[in-house]
Amino acid sequence: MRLNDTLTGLLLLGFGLVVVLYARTFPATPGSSIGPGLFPIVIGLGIAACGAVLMWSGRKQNFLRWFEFEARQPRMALNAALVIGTLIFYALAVDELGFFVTAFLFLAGLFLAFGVTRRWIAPLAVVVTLGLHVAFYSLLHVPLPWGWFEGIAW
Amino acid sequence: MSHVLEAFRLVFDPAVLGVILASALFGLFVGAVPGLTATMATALLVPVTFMMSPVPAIACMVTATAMAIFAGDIPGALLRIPGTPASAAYCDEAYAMTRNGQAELVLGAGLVFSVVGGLFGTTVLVTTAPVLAEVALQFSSFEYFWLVLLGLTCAVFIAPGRPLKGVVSLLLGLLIATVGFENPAAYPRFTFGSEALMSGLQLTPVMIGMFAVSEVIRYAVSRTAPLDEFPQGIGRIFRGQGELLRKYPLQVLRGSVLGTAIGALPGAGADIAAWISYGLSKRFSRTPEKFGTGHVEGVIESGAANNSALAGAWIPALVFGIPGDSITAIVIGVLYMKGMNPGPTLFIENPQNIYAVFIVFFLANLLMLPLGWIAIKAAKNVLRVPRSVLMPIILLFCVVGAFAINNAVFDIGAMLVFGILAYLMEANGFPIAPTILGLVLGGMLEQNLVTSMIKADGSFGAFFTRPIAGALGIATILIWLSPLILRRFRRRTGLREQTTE
Repeated sequence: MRLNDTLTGLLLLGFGLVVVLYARTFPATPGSSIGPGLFPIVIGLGIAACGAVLMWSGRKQNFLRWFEFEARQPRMALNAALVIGTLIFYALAVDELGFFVTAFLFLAGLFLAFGVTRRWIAPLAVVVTLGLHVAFYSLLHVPLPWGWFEGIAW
Repeated sequence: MSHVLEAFRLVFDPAVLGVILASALFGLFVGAVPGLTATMATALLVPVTFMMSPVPAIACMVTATAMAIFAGDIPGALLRIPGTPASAAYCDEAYAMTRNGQAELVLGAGLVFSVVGGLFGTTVLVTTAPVLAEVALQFSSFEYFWLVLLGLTCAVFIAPGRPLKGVVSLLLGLLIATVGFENPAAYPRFTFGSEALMSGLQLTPVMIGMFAVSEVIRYAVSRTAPLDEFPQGIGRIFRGQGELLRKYPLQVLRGSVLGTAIGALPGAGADIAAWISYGLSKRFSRTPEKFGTGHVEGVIESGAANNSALAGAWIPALVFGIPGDSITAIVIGVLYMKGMNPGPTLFIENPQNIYAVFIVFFLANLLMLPLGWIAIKAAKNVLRVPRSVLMPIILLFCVVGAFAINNAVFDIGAMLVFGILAYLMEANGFPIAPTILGLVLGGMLEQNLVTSMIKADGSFGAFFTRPIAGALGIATILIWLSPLILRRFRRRTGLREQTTE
């Protein structure tokens, strides 16, 4: 997704100023002129200044096109949303469903969206899920949640 | 001397050798598959190294990156798709050679001169790092402040694209680094009451997000066309390499020296080294007209440059804790996790670990010859693995990896946010490397700034009175002013500045 430089500059200018205003509320360190707010304020001012310059230099760009999406087909834009959605799904579901179910659905969904041959999807998803489980749970001792499979946990 | 022996014992442990071999194969695979980069390989390795002791953890990353940078040449030469950005500079040239029926020669040259460049960079690392560490022991907060600022400055001005956007990237990184209470005043900043943000954003999920998740999103949005037809059979790749070395010794040396130097500059790594090296090679060549038609000279020079840059990047990383490229930015995080805090004292307190890192560098580069040969022979099968299968697997790997650091679902969210941010930044011409550098060095910059200001008691002159600090400070300010000076100079000579956009 490409944004017009003027728009990006405006966003950065606003963001920088918000950072400055917020950092000004940090309390001063007693007995010192340098408080915790100094460094963020300098950074915020810098971001705001860069935003202003970017707005100025972007003024010659076509104003009618605030942003464009590089995906050639709507399906691809959908794919990007799907990648993000799948990650959110994993984060929300993994404790309840457990790693096996969540990872299987995660992989199968993305394989399907990316156009992997249908009959390969399920076997591939199973093999990869089990493989990652062995690598991270058994070898690296990462406590991947069991969820529905709590009863057979090893 | 006993430290060196101890280092050999640490490296030549069967388990460590096993780790080196496995990470070599991983690196070759990642490098050979287009769209997967050496930096991504390093980010994905962080959770894997979590349970390891320091030496195998570092060995893992050194080996994987060296292999990945070489292996990026393989699809570049065979399919005209660089495996990693570091091979992009000479990809067309290498492909032209393949079309001229010289696939063996160009692949062999890629391998042999990667090894030569890698060994050269390693030698420079081994000889200069301890000397620099001696000097660095004398440094106070003033020197460190300027050194960090100079490093960040280089990152902005070397990165491709407009310096203004590089500055924004850098400032964002510095801002992210301020989150949490780990600052000189120990005041929780930008935590918004969140407990998870108290200790700041974890480096690993941010890195995995910015380097791996963003890549998967990019793939999902603009899927590249299926791979071209693959040329049949690859014969003897080592034939004729000795002759090339005799014919182009100067080019090999120049590429290696330049690569090491660019690697050592913060923010610039193997990919920029390869671009500059290829350009120089053409400029100083006796036959510049042959470039682009399938001429091996530039491939040799930039192939040596990108591998030597890897070792060069470790010089400032180990001595000052300032990463030379994105890969060492990740490695520094791992060094801290392993209790091997980078800095000059590392060379005094843990010399055996440092020597072990040096030995691993030599070993990895030597191992590249046989393993690289196998990789070239196996390329046909590796390149057949469709990316539609690989990308979901990588994404799941990212999720589990980000989770593994703290066993916290929060980190998966952080990874996602930074993955989207990096994707948007790159799509709009904001480079990623300065953000990572700002994130890694932000704490150090603020710490040294505050310490120096307290010492100086409000006088800015104190930042310049110590000789090394003064020189570093002036250098930094000159680089910042250089665009203004250049513009004025151009105006005076009547040249109108050409806008690129």
